[in-house]
Amino acid sequence: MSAQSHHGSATRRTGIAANLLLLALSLAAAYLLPTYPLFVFSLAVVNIIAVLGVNLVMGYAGLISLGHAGFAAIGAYTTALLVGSCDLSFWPALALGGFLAATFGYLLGVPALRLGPLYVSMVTFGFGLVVVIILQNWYALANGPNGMTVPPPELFGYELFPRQFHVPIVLIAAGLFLLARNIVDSRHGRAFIAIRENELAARGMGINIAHYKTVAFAVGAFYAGISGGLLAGLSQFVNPDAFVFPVSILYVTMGILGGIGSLAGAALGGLMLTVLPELLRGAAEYKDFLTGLLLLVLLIFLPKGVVGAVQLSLPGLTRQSILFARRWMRGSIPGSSPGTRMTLESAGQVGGADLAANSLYERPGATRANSDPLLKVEGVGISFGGLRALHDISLQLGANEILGVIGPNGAGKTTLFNVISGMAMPDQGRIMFAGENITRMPAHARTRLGMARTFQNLALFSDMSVIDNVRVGAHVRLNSGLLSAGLRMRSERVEELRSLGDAAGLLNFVGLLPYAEQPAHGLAFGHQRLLEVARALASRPRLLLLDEPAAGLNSAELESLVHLIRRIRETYALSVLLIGHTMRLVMGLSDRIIVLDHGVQLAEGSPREIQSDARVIAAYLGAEDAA
Amino acid sequence: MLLELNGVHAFYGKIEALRGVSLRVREHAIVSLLGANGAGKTTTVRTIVGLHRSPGNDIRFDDAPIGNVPPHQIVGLGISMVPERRELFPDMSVIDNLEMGAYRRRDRADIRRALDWIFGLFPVLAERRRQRAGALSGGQQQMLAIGRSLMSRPRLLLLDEPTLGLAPLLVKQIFAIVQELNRQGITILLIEQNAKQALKLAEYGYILENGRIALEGESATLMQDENVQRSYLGAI
Repeated sequence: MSAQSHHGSATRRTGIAANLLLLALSLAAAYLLPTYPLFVFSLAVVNIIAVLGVNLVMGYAGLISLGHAGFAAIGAYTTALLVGSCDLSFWPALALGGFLAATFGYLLGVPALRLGPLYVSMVTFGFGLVVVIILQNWYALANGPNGMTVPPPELFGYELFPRQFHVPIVLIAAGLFLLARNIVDSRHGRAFIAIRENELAARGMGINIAHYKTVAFAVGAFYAGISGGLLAGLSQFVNPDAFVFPVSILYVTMGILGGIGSLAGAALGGLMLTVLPELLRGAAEYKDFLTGLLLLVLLIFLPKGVVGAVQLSLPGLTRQSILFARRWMRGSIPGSSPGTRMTLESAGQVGGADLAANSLYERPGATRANSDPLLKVEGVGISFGGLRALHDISLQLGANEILGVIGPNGAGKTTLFNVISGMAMPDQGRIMFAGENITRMPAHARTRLGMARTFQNLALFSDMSVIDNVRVGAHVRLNSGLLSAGLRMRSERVEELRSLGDAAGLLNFVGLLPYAEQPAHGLAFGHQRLLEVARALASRPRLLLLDEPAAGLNSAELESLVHLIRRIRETYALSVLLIGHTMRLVMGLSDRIIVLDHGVQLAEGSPREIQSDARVIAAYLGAEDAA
Repeated sequence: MLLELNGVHAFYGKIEALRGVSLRVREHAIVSLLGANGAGKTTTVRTIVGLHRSPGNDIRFDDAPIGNVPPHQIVGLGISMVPERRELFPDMSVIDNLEMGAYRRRDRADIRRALDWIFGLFPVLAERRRQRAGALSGGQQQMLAIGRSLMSRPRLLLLDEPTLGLAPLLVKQIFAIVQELNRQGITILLIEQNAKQALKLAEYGYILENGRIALEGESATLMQDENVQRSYLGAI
């Protein structure tokens, strides 16, 4: 593993050098290229900024925006009007344009909370159309369809020619690229991807889906707004034609062509689709046809985009993690000793030590002395379309207790879990957790209170690496904001490193550390269940809900799971609610057991009492097992 | 031999999941395939039905090589798989799920007979034939998954953890059904975590470790083996 991270830092250095060279060449173009090719290049860079925004929304948060040209128009017109009519300097006007676009993006993101991805596309589609129609018909604003000229941008009192304006465009694009990369490679980026991969599980990890979707939209719109503002400065003219619906489609196409979910892909796609039609200019009437044909061929042979075809494998540890590892080695992060080689194993030990001491993260209210039961379910009932799934269920779970829930398939066990964890709202009854009434509390807020669960049918973020799955689990314990992540501030870097060490420690705990860098979908079924346990533990819950953790494990693996759950209870001082069909697990671990059948409570008692209960034997165990 | 694997390999990218697996299944037998998570059991059945390619074309069914036959034609040869975690079509009705299992058959009367046979095996599926598959309980879903793969009238049935996540009573029912299918002449390759039950049912067993067959033998012999007892036969 150490060889690998060493290799990683070498690749990283080459990567930085390549990027710097690329930046230098892009800047030098201002003095090397003839006027028209340079204009096309500037235009490409401006487009790239918008595509970065589309990619954040589409590739990371999984929402397709068909109205990004609308956001760009808001940025462009805001900049043009502030500079042209209000005599504001170009640069603050550009920023204001970006923020206004972001505001619209945020407001448009609100429907995304309630409606599915298809509606988001329709809403943004409508928005893009409306913006253009307003601009075309509002003559008082900016001459309607005729557009308005924009005074040339100034820098330190000098007017910039388009040739000179290329330099700030490239620098702004580079800055925004870094910002996007930092956001993607932080707890916020992981939250975006988690939502895209599995919304249900993301909620279970305490991620506020609504918040993150609107934030993704706002950030994406900000990028489009800046792109529009720069376009206004570059062409020194704005009119509605530059922001019509096909432009929105063009942005999406650029993102797909380059490679969805890859920022480098956004850059490549933006560049190719701006330059390509210009190269085909000679074949005037065939231009659109040839562009379309080429696009078709490229996508058939490179379904994951240009970047997807180049990238051979998923980078397991993110680049940021490798950077942390190097800093840690040099001792520039508190707690690390200089010269120590940071490997995933040593990170695991560091994290593991933290687990035992539980010192890194304070658990709110964890130490509060409380004689009340941790969880109280009182008379809970729920129906699905006339089918009564649960009826008048009451149970109590004390601190540090393990309560087993058994019953035939379809008895309502998983529904009970859903009601407790907030994935379903009960029709009747009340649920108290840690002294609070949580009956109507959303799932992500319950995670913050100290509740974590696993899923019967597995809900991993399957394209993410094993270790990043665990890091998403720690979402609620990390505090860095979007801005400190985007600017990669020191506090955020330290927090990220700790979360990495903590995640490695948890993987070590469940025995999955050797698989840390593989994508989660590559794990065997039983290992995926263990990963769910590690991910749930990452939030340091006071109550752990385990839904059939033993399914798919063989006898030896089951033995170590029983041992693991005992250790979890000791190490973390938590309570466990355990659903299971495997009698050796449930009977061996539970302090008490409740039996559900057809949504009602059939029996409750110690494992011994349950095993000899005639009703339980008839409904569930069958004659032999009771003997 | 109905099914023969001679040194089969399978890869996930650079990771070698199967490193030369050889096994034999006699016609009308029940053979069990055991092993820890990640050993390659599921990969083995997926390779048999052509979802992974072994580079050597080293799988024979009924004495003909099938290593290069695409998955949709494997079904036509008489091999059917019940996948791990069932993989039903959750929004389709029970009967539609079953008919998907006969997708490659054309004769309506024939399909009708297959349906009657399956409803005879699983009366509960007949009762619920119009319900969404996703609304069935776990045990019923497993019966539906088995029923669906029987619709193609296979000679060889590959069962990948048919008792996964099922309550004790249902586990017994599923094993009884497996036995009944075998009695009706269907050859069965059974993957199970419940090694004790699987070995009771099977005449022969293979134990897979790290992509290789670590041990094989008559079920009775395997049950006496100390390593097997320690690793796989704890009282589940």
